[in-house]
Amino acid sequence: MSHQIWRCSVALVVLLLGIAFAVGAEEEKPSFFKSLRDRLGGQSDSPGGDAESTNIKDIDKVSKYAAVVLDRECPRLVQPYKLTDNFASLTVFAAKEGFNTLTRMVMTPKGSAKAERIPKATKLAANQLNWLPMAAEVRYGEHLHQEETNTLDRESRLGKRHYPTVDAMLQTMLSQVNEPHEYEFKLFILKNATRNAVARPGGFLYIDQGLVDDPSAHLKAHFALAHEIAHVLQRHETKELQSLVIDSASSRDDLVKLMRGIRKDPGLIVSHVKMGKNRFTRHHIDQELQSDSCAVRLLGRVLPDAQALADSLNAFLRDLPPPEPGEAPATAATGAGALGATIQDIVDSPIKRHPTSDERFKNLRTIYEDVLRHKAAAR
Amino acid sequence: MKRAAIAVLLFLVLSEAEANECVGLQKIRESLMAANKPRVAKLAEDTPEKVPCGSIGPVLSRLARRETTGGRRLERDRPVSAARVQAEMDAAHRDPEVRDLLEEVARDTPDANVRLFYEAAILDDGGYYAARDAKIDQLRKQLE
Repeated sequence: MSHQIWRCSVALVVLLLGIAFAVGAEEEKPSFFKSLRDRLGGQSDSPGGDAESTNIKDIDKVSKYAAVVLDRECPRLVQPYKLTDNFASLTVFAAKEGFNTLTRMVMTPKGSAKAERIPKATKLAANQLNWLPMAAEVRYGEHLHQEETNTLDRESRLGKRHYPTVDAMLQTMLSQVNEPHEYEFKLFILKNATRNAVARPGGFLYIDQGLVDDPSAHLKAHFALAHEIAHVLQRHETKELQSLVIDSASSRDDLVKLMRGIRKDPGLIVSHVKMGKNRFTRHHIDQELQSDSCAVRLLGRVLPDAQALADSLNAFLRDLPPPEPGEAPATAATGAGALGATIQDIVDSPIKRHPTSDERFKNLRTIYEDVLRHKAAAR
Repeated sequence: MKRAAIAVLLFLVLSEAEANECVGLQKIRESLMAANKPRVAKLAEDTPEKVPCGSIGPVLSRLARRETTGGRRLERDRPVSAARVQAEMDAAHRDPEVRDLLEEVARDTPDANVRLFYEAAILDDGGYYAARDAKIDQLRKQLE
């Protein structure tokens, strides 16, 4: 029920914004978008600023689905986290859309671009923003944290030995997050011999003791911590939750069409379920890749040079696990065999999985080169 | 006077008993009972002082729960190698403090399940987590 109220409120606001800008678009000059962003104090072009300023997300793509990552290369380390930020981002988007529509109307002889498309696009843009209030996100994180019973006590003998190392690592990294945010990060060492790390909503970070007690693992620890910080600052867990709600609710019309189609082809329902599952899995994978990208950008600020950055990335890549079930593409089949294979794939393959090592390698290399290019340009 | 002395004595005994009760352990045991895992909860009954208090609750929880807790992991969890487990066991037996405790519980604990539980708690406190997890896995199989 609360979701419905929330969706209606958002839809209403974006509708009003859309109408306002559709009406105002023709009167505005091309410099409107820039001046509006300046008025709102947006920082999408420049990092830094204080916590009071508005954090505007420059939305330049939208999708029919909420569960998509449209900026996998991490153009910004911190996602908007205040309602005012979201509304400002939508305002800028609506203004830009209004201007784009005007351009299309002028350039297209028959005026195929209709003004009423603006609110719909703005609504889709709203789906890409995270509407869960920060206080709720923190409470969700606290709830998950209470289930964690494997943390190393800071006051224990081993805690006193290891916490200073990771605390210093975290402080160094956070000192390089120049964008404003309100997260209070809480770092815990997990009593595990393995070399993994975890992030939970609201700023809860966890790192295995296996990454801390062995100095040779510190290169990977840097990457791990940067990756987990990115999950929090990108608000991945709550965005995923929100996307599930939005996508399941907005597919009502599709569902009616689907029910009609099933009479002719019973396999349609299986295809529909598989498509939904694949989309969710892809979203999860892309969020992981986005966190990898953000980690490289953050480490690019933290580590002294390109070699140190490369060493940290290589330490992570070298330690990646072997492929997990579901990573290999399914073999093609036809007829009843295909239907059976599809059902088996839906049941057997994990819904949440990590990118393949190859995907991660290619993505890291792209972002690494981009970071180096930016550093060279800055010099 | 005699009554006052008895009251003071009783207070001291009760205070000592409370001090020996590990923080949070009662809650964990209650939740295990509620989850219909009395055999696991029973392992922590009358735990001797030599077993590190801070490790009893976490080992009990780990023993009772197989699934991982929520959150975004850097990579998929994977088991540690048998070689790593053995290396940690060897290191634990070279660590005088841990070795003495392991030898004591081996000598003083006739019940094999309870002994495994104590050993896991001692290894947890010493930071030998791969060895601890091997003991927990072994105990879990024995309890099934």
